[in-house]
Amino acid sequence: MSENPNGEPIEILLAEDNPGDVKLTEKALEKGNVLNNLHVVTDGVEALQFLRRENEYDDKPRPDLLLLDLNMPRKGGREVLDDVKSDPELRRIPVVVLTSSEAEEDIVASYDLHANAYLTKPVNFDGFIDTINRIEDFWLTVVKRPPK
Amino acid sequence: MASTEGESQPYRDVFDASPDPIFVHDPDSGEVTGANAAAADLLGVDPEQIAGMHVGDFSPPEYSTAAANDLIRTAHETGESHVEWKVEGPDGDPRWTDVELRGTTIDGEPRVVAYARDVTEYRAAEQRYRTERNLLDRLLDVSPVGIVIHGADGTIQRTNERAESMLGVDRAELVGAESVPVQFDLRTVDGDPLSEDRAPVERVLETGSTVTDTELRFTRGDGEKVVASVSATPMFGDGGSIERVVVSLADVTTRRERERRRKERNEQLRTMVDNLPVVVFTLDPDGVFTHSAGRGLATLGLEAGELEGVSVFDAYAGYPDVIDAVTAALDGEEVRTTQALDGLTFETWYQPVHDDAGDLKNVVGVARDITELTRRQARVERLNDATQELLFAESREEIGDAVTRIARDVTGRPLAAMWAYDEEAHELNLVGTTIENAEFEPPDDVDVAPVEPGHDEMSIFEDGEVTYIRDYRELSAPSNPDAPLRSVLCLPLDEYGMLMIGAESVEQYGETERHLLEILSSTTTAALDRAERAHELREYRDELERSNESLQQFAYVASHDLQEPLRMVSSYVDLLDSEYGDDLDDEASEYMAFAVDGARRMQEMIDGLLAYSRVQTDAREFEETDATAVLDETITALQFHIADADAEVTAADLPPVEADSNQLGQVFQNLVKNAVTYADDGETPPRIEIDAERGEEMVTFSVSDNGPGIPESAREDVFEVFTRAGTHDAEGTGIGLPVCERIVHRHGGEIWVESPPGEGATFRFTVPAVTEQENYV
Repeated sequence: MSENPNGEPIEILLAEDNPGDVKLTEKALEKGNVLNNLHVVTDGVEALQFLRRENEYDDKPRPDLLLLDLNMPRKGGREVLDDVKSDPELRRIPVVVLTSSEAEEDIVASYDLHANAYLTKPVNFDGFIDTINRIEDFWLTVVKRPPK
Repeated sequence: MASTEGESQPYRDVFDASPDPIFVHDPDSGEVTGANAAAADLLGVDPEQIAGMHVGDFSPPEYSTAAANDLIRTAHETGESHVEWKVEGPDGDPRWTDVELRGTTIDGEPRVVAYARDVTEYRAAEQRYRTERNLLDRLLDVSPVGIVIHGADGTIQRTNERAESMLGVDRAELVGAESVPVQFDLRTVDGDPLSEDRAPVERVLETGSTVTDTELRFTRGDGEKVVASVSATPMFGDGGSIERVVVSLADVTTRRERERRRKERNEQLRTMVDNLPVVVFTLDPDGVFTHSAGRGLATLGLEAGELEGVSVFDAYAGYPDVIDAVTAALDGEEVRTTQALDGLTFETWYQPVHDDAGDLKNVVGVARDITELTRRQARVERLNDATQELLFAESREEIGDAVTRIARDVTGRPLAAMWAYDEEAHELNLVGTTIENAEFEPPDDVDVAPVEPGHDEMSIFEDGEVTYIRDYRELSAPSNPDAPLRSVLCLPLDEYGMLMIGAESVEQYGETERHLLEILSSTTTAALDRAERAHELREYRDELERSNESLQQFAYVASHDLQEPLRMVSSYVDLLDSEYGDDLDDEASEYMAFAVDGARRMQEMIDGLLAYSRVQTDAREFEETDATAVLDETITALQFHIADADAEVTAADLPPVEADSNQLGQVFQNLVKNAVTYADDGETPPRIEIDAERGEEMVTFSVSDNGPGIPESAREDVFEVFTRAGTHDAEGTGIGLPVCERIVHRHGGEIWVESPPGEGATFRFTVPAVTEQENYV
């Protein structure tokens, strides 16, 4: 596992209601090569509270990357995306939509809402690990992220 | 002094002095024995020479000497005879004599004395008279005028042929006849009997003056009636008294008959014109009415002839249309116009009439009241438009609105209502109404009660016959007793409802009105029928669309939502394998492998279902598509698959088609992939041929392989979802062909498979061809 350039672990927020996917993401990140702290919320409302450090999240760090599932209870991924991208405080956070939907309208709608990437969850574990690793590589090492 | 034999002197002197010629003959020889001086003068001979002459010497040519001798002898024997004797006079001119022959004895000798009288002058006069008389007769007879000459006593003395034929009686019967008036039933032309003293001849005899040109009617001998123009003229004798009356008769029967007929015709014409339902008039060149007739005048409140003498420019000063038309007609133009007069519509025709010199004589006009015609035409036209309007109406309410409006326009009745039958509630509800009555509130604000069983209207509806209600107020069970209705015509509309046309007072409904309303009601019934069927069709279509949509939704959601748990299964089986695989025994590994394979197959089926549902959801418009290019792309995409099977794929040039190129590619891909897969038996390399046949409207594509073929029993099933052809457990989800079928059907084409035993399988499908017309566009 390699360090970040400044030695700090990368903060990742995963908004995902399916514990199976949460576990898979954790496993995939474990196998990756970026030092990271994974935070998990299970619905859109919590996701926004986390991002805004509201309620119990007041001590949480500002994430470097948001992995967003589209189908969540209370507040869906699209609405979260919309809120994040219209909030001047939050809109610089890269948002990667990670979903099982291959529907064209979901893809188009996500990009219209300024998602930074749209990925479909691969159907087997190897594919899943591969995808998470690519996200890590690209967004956490290749890309110059905005300052916090 | 002529010498004679043995005469006594006194007689001799008489004999000599007689101015008439006297001859004395010897009866035996015919010799002249003595003659006087007059006799010598007659013959122009010397008196001395005459004795000894023979009678034959001066007999006319028609007498021979012997005949002349015989004449003398016979006279002697009979004692006396008389002859006319023509002799040649002294100047050679013929002289006519009337001769008396007398037998006698003179001096004991038999002698015949011929005493002659010169009648030459008398005969000439008589001849002249005869000639003239003949001429007169002939003149009379050739006269075209019948002439009857009456004597002073009135009897007929003479007639001519013409009179004879006119009177139809023989001349012989006429001459001497009396009482002409009685015999011929003389009458005046008007048929009044003529008393005897009024007859022309009698009047002339009585007055002595001429009667001229009196027309009289009489009955001919054969019974025929004749009209003659009669003139009678008196002819006076020397003593100044009337000797004769000459009557001339001119047959004027034909003329009179012609006149009578003309008069009759004029009378008929006048009667006809007076009774024509039009206005007939004439105008003089100044535009003044010279004649006006026709029953049509009454509609204008005028009497026949009332306009005569009035100038049209005064009478119709307020009607510029009329003035314009008259002005044009007076200029010699034939004019035909439609003009409004006193709220009526007239079609008027002006015809200028010119005299021989080409000057305008007058203008003849005929005006026809076409008000009712125009009104009827307008009604029929309205009804026609209505039919169109009704046939485009889509709901009962629209039809109700339209039909009541039309009924009002067509009939002019103030109240029209359409009731629709509600089968479930078994009642009639008001769906459209037109009420032109300020006192009666519009139905929106008034609760118009439905017609229920027991109401009179319901009985009429159920009866199905057009029914006239004389007075709605007198009905025993009306549905709306307070409605301002009196007379109502009810027209049931089959099972759909009823049309009611009402009046505010007790009124009749005429034939025409009923007829128009019946046409309207049958049109309405047809419109309701059509609207109902259209409604059913719409509902059916909506239902079909809904069901199709939910099926679509189901397929999408099913495949989508199935994906999640499946992903969990396969992901965690993988995770299990990667983290604990080393700890598992062979049996557990085998179980794991089955789970992985099951998940994989499930995944393929879900992908197939998704593809199937996307035929509709991801559909694109049809456009001109290069099928060859599409097939090339497909083959490229399948190149590894083809290479693996060591297959040979050949394709002909394919014609362009009207298609969704994406979907056409999917069909090619599924069919070629299937062919490669099923034909690959591991021994003979698969051979795939793709061809096309251009039809008039469709292109038929074919994909043939050299595989085992498809048994007949399975050929229908291959297009069913999740059915797999072939006997061996080949790869595939069983969704490829159903997707192909769905795509082809979406293109309006057909897909089928042919598989003659031992010749592999050929899949054929049709897609719309690019027509030439579309190429030009």
